[in-house]
Amino acid sequence: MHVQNFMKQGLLGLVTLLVGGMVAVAHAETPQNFLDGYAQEAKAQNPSFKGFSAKAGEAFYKNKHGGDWSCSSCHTDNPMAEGKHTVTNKQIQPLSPNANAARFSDPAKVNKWFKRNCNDVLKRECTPEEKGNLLTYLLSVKS
Amino acid sequence: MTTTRQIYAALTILATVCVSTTVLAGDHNYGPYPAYYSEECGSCHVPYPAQTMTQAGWQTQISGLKQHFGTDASVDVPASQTILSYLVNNAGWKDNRAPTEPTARITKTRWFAKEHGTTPPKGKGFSDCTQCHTKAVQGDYSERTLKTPAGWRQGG
Repeated sequence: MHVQNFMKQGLLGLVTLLVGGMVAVAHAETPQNFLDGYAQEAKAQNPSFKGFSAKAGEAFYKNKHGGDWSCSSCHTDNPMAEGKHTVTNKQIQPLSPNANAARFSDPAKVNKWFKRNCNDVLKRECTPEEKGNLLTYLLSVKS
Repeated sequence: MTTTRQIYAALTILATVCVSTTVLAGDHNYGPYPAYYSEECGSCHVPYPAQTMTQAGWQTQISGLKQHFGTDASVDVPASQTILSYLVNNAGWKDNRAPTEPTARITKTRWFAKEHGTTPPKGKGFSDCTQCHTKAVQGDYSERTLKTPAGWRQGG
């Protein structure tokens, strides 16, 4: 009897773990989740961090950073619009989550593209503050 | 008797599969691509058919994704292993598909130059296959779906 109960509890625990894991995998992030994460990281790096700025994000998006490209070279001046790869002509879906709900929903994709594109545009990783400013700008553009 | 019939049926199916595969290959149809290949290697350019280059060429490409023709196209290790094994398993085997320079550009293979010349149509680039191969995204490079600009001649 005692052993049976023990096994039942163990099975229940296993099922809970499995279902919990599946829910965690299927759970999509929101742009706000990313903003919260970047804010936490920014604060950890710089205790005087006060919050993100859409204006700084816009400048970051539109300016070159010492190289040939800005974010807008491929994503265009309007992040609500479709872009085009400058070399291959490949169509790029809009970057702003306001125009494209798939943006900033999958951490693996977000990390992959920040890593690549920051390297292309800035020749280094982007800081959490830069990422947060950029996303704040992307969310502020409505048309 | 039943067994003989079954063997014949199996052989017929096998023959059909072989013939249709041959027809597709002869028709320059390399799709459909695995979803991960289109996703990982089709975001910045059309997913290029594995058959366009030899195994050595793909090994060079995948090992150099961090500096991929002027951009950082790095992928994580599990993804790069999956992609490389797909490319290697479907790579071209003829000598004329071998890379001819250190960056292993498809457009510099002897096969590509023979088929396309060395100068792309005016105002276009060879990297964008869809300019002429209208169904390149799906891997269809057949004559049927080919539309070259008026007046373009191989080798420009």
